[in-house]
Amino acid sequence: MPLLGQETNQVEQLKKELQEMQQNFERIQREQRQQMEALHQQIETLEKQQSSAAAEQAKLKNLVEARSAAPPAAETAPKPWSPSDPIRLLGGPHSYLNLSFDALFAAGGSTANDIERGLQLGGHDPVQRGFTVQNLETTFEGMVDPYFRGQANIILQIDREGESFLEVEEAYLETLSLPGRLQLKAGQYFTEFGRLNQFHPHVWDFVDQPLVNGRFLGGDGLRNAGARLSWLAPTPFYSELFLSAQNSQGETAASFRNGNEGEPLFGRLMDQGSVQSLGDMLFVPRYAASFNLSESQTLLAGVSAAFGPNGSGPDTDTQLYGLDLFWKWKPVNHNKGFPFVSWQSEAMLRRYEAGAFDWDRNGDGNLDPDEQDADGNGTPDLLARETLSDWGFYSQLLWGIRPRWVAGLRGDYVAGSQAGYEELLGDDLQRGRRWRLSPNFTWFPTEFSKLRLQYNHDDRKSIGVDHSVWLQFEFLLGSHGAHKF
Amino acid sequence: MKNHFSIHSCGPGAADTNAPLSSKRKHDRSGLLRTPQARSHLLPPHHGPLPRGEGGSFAAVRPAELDEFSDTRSALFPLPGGEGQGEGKTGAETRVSVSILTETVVGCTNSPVGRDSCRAPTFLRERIPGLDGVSPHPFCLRLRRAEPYRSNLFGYAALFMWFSLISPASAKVNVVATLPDFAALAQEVGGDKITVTSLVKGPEDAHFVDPKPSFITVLNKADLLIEGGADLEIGWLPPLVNNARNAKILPGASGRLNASSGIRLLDVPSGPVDRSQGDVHPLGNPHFWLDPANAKILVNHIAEALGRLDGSNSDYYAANARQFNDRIDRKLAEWNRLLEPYRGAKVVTYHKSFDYFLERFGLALAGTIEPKPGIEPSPAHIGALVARAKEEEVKLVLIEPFRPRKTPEYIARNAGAKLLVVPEKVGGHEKVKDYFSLFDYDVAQIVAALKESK
Repeated sequence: MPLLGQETNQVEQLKKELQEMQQNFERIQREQRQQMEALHQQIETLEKQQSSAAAEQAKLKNLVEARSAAPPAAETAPKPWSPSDPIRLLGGPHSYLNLSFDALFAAGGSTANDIERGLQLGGHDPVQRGFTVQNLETTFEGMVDPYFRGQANIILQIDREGESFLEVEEAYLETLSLPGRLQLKAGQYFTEFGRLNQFHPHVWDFVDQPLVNGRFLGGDGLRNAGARLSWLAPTPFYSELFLSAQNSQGETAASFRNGNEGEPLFGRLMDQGSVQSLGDMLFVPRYAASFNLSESQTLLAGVSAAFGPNGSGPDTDTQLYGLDLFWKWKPVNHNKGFPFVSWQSEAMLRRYEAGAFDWDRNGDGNLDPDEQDADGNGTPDLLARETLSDWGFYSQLLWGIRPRWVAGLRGDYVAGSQAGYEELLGDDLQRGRRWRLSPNFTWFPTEFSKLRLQYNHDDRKSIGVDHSVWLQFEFLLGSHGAHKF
Repeated sequence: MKNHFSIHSCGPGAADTNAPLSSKRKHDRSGLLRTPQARSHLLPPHHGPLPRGEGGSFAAVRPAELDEFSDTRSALFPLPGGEGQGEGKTGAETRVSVSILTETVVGCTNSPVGRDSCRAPTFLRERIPGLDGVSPHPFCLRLRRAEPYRSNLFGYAALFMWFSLISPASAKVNVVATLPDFAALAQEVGGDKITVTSLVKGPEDAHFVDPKPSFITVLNKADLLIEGGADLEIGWLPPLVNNARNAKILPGASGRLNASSGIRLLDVPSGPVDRSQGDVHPLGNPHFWLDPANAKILVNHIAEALGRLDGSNSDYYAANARQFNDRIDRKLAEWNRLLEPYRGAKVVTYHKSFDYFLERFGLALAGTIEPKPGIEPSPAHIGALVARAKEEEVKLVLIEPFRPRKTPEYIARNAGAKLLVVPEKVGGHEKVKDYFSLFDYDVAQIVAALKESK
């Protein structure tokens, strides 16, 4: 069938044509791709060239257009991150964990014989003549996910006996964008009470902790596991309201359910007790506000309170009130943050309801070896319920003279009301009037190291005057998060 | 707590209807007025286009923010104060009832108490347009003292909450920039459709900025945050953003613009970096805004970001960006022409702040006074630098206004060069009010100094 044959031929010819067209199409596509690649290469080589001003300007315009058309991410990320890459320690865009290590040491001596927890109230203060390892702090910090930021500060210390011990100072998460201007913090954290209590020892401006902090918030600061909600008020200036609920026991809640390690406190043996109701938790409200007094002056002021049960009896509470003020002058044309003058002060008042206490521990009415008979009447002491009032403040002035050099002066004062148990047992050193004056001088080779010399003039009621000189040095490794104002 | 406040701001006849509402929410402190019924009373007559809860609708505290930043902003961009803060109608329908603690305070425009007795405190009246009792502000309040010494605090707290609730939103996009230069570029693109605030001030050293708490308040209200990136603000910005409770400006969000993206940074370390080399920025030199060609890239990104956030004006932003870029092209030719005769002239700078400027205009960096980034010079380094500057015939010692003068003066004097102090940021000198005048001023100064030393 010739007609059919002709048709078959035609079909074959058409098929052939189609194939040719397909090949042509593919060839053109290939060529164009090559041309595009060549153009790309040309642009790249142009980028590297340095030519005359006129040519450069014309080229520049093309480049700018070509660059802004391209997605910016492609240019800034030369190599995608992979999980096997080493962890970045310098911050930057690929960081999953910022890790830093800070070491703080002191060397020096004092005329006092009770340096640890007598003269020096802080848990990270210098505690002996010679060297003290004050604080070896490892900080882990980073974004947890789109909702939380996490931070942990693990402290290593070496005590007077040379034993190393570990302290979980903080480990908490913080929300990033709760609605309603709210922020939630939960975990183990430094309570937002006053100003200094919120900062780690390595950013303090003096070698040691102020006396008010030591007496009322404890040597290791007021911190515990808990949760805190804060609300950024919609005011024209910064103002924030905090409310924290935390555990009320342990040595990091010194004025509250402090077990006190078997040593008597305020003439009594303490009993941590246990939590029976919500009222047995520690509640800490705080309000802080800040004003820019001028272009170069900033004021940050806060009022805080802390309410919780204490360990001196079954129905005894502590109320702690605090007032803090921070003022800083730094001219608008500062060089590396210098010069500056800052003034920081905190005042605190504590009402401590001390419960009635019977030293007849076994209840037999007779004086036994582990029982106390301070008045010497042959029977164990009986202490009445009473309220102890204590107060104090510190005030410090810093002068950043020129880049790297800072001079400081701090004054401390603490005192307490005469209590009933003191009439029986004599003056309590932990509540007696005391003042201290501390001038110091700090040299910062960079922001990552410092050297500080401090003198303390201490005057304690019933002990007298003591002199101490401490030299402190610090270094910081890794990516340490920026500090707040 | 024995003393408490609530504020009633009410229209005619509101006194009756307020009573049940206020008593119902006596103890409702932070969760103010959650019910839809209550909210309908609270929303201003007309509120902004942004969704509730995004911070947009309650942006009207903004005029008061001028309190802190007015100096910078008015110096840079003379905006009419309080513009865009639409006044609510003298709302007969609008009632606000905020009960902060547990007592009641009444304040009504039309109450027998009268207008003057319910004025806001003087310090607020002076700063916030519309708060003055004489002006036709829709609301009026009075704080009755329950206990004389504590009541003011609660009264003010109530007043602030009142502000956040009644104030109508501004339709403008609220841009916050870390540096005044980014703010100036944003202003070029956004014109009168945006408000701009710069956190850093012109004369300041941008590496060492205090994270002032007021910045948190500013960032909380931002729709767009422009940062330099490349670790420029790493020492102070992250905790502020973390505390600002503003999802719009978190890293990676649509309201966060990294100004260095898409820009070829200089001095990107090729080998390993550690701090024995000084404070080296591992991502490269972050002073990139001193090359006008980089500003062109940034301006395009700003126009993109603004268009994304405010789609109805995206053409306006794009047109402004094009105009800016054309103008930069013309000015760049002019600046190049002025500096052409001095091509290859050698300069010494304090820090590596002017590298982008020098590269763009064909000047050569012979050395820096800092031996390593951020490290203060030792006498040995100064001596060596003087010797090198002499040998290489350095013409200029170029420093920013905030640097100390003694060492640069010594080097200039001994090397036979001229010391020149020029701003590296907008606002760094009184004559430098925008991005163009920064270069006009710097180029003119440098040309004059080089002419003299020729």
